[in-house]
Amino acid sequence: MDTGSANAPPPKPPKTSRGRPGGSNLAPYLFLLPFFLIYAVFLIYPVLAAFRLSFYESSGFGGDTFTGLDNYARLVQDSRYLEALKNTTLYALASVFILSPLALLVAVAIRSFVVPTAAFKSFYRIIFFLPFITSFVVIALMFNLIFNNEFGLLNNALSALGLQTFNWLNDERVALLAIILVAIWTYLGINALYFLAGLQNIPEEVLEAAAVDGASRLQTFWRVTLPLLRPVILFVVVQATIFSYQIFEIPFLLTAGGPSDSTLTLAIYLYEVGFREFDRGYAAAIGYSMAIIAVILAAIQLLAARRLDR
Amino acid sequence: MARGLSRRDFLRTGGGAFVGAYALGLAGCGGGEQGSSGGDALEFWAFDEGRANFAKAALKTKEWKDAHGDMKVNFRIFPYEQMHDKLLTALVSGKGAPDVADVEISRFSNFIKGEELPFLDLTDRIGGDIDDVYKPAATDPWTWQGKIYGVGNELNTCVLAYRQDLMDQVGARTPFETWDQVVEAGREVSNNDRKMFALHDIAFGDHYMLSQSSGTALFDGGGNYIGDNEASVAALQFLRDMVYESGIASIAPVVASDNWYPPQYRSAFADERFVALFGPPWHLSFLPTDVKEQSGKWTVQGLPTGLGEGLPTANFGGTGQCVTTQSQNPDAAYDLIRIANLTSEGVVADFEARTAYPAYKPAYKDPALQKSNEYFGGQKLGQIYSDLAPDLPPFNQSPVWGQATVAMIREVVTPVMQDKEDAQTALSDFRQIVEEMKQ
Repeated sequence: MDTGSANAPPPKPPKTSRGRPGGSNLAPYLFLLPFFLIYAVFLIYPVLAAFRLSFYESSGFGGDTFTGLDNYARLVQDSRYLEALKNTTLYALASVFILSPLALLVAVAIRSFVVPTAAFKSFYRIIFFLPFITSFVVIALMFNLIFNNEFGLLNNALSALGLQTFNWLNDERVALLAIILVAIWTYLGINALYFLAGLQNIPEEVLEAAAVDGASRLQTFWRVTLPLLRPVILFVVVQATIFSYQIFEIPFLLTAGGPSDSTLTLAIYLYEVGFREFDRGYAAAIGYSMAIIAVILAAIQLLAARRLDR
Repeated sequence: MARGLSRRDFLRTGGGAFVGAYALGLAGCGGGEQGSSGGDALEFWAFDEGRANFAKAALKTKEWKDAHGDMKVNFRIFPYEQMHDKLLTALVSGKGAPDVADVEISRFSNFIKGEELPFLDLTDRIGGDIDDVYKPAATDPWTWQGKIYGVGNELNTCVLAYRQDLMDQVGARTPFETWDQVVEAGREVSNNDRKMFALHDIAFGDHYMLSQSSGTALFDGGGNYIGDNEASVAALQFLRDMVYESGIASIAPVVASDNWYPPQYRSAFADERFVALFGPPWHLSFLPTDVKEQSGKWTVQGLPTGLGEGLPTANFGGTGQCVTTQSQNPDAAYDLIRIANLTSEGVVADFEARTAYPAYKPAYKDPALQKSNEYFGGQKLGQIYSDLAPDLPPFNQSPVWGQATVAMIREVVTPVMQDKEDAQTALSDFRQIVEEMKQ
């Protein structure tokens, strides 16, 4: 009987270079600490401070006064806030129902036989992506010229076609439409890339099986491609909604929210209240209302997607 | 078994890190690497290279060198919005503000909201020098409740300027005595391709100038809204009629990023699509630089009568220099402001660099300001502006002035000038909006 092994001490855990066995392993946390410190200082602290501020009357120089939910109650009575909410919502709807389908169309076109060679596919991918990496200031300068009332490219084209021209950026009736057109131009490429990534992940066998079963291209797209793209569609729609409620640069640079608030967005209104009217408490409440709206809409979209999956 | 960091340890460490970060954040917010430079140096914030150079010129004077030797002055130039926003933030946080800052006329009102003002009261320091300036341009816009918090150097006396050659062609009698005569000449000179004036539908300046000339303002001396009085309504109606009744004006080709005189506005003048304008010297300044080929064809005169009191001028625009309460060296900071704004040497240097007509009266004895101007038919503009300056109406500041002028564009100017809404109704309805702002 070999009892040696029964009486032998349990094997020692191997020593590692990370520290003594049994000791707390702090190294990974120390490596992570700088990120969390910076994150806390520059994100969590301002977020918490703004939350506190939203319950105070804090305007001008002098002390702050606690006013409870007054700033939030003021939102529903503020006609400019409601106008900004309406404009932002229209913009978000355009992002979801115009921009996203167009991006899908572009992605499908690039992936399909419409663009025949790999070189062309890469070319179009780059062309569509370029606006996304262009500075907003450059975009604003460019579209100021395109939308110019007198010598702008768009009005010249409309005139040539015998159509009505507009003072695109200064006319209340069409200014928001102009902003939406610029946003579509800017964000079409990045959204198309998301869809392209999704399309590339669809197994070729599935598409071939559909073809073997006699499905037409359109049937394959509706019955196979689109359902398999659902996670990507959900992602694009959720991020389009969230970012739409934060839109600031394009309308601020092109119209500054005007004329007569026709392109005022929630983010521009927040900036105006915070820095032009210097009402910091109310501006913080507007910021939190934007966050709440974005979270609620994203939650609704996620729930709807889950229900569709069942 | 190797024990990793327990959840409790992690929370404890994380909590400690967060508290540390929070403290760091507080310290960071109050950190003063930028801002007031301490007792042996000055920090100056500006939003325009030309204005920074104006202040820099003061440092080269014998007076500054004798008093402050080689004191270092650190100039920082930011874009307009950014500079004012940063200044507000630094002053609210209590640290990081400069010693001296340029504050544009429409942004000053933000700094007088609340019980504490973040700028030094300069009234006593200015002392007797106040008699040497045209107050509506030099100090009124930076004055609140009788105390002066800033000094500006630009004399923004508004005038009427027009193409003399074209007025002569149509037989108009100039200089114009009344606005009726202007409209009459405008009818003669205007056609489908050319109008007398380019009037703004996304800027408040046109109405602002004409209502002052009519003897009224947006606010009275007590900060109460008076913009809906008869004279103000008549001024707005007159502007509207020039576009839609007499047809002597079109809506100015401007954009939101420059709602006053962007390149397309200037090129329209170069193309002779507009042949007259009214505005302050800074507005007229684009003509000699951007419309060079019309040199010698323009004439300047005071504003005609026929609207309300018919004052021959109005005040529009300006930027003042203010000393912040965070300054560690307010004496040197004020000296810089004084030498730049309240000495002939300082303001003449700025005139020669930027053609900024000064609000400092004695400077007009300087030959540089008495030269005839070839572009404007040999007229002595310095003489014209200084002759008009005593008629400048006072500027009544209000904590909501800037906010109200922005709202005025939205609620009054655009609806009336673009949508042809009734001037009386728009200005009356605007009262409610201003009252809400003041609450």
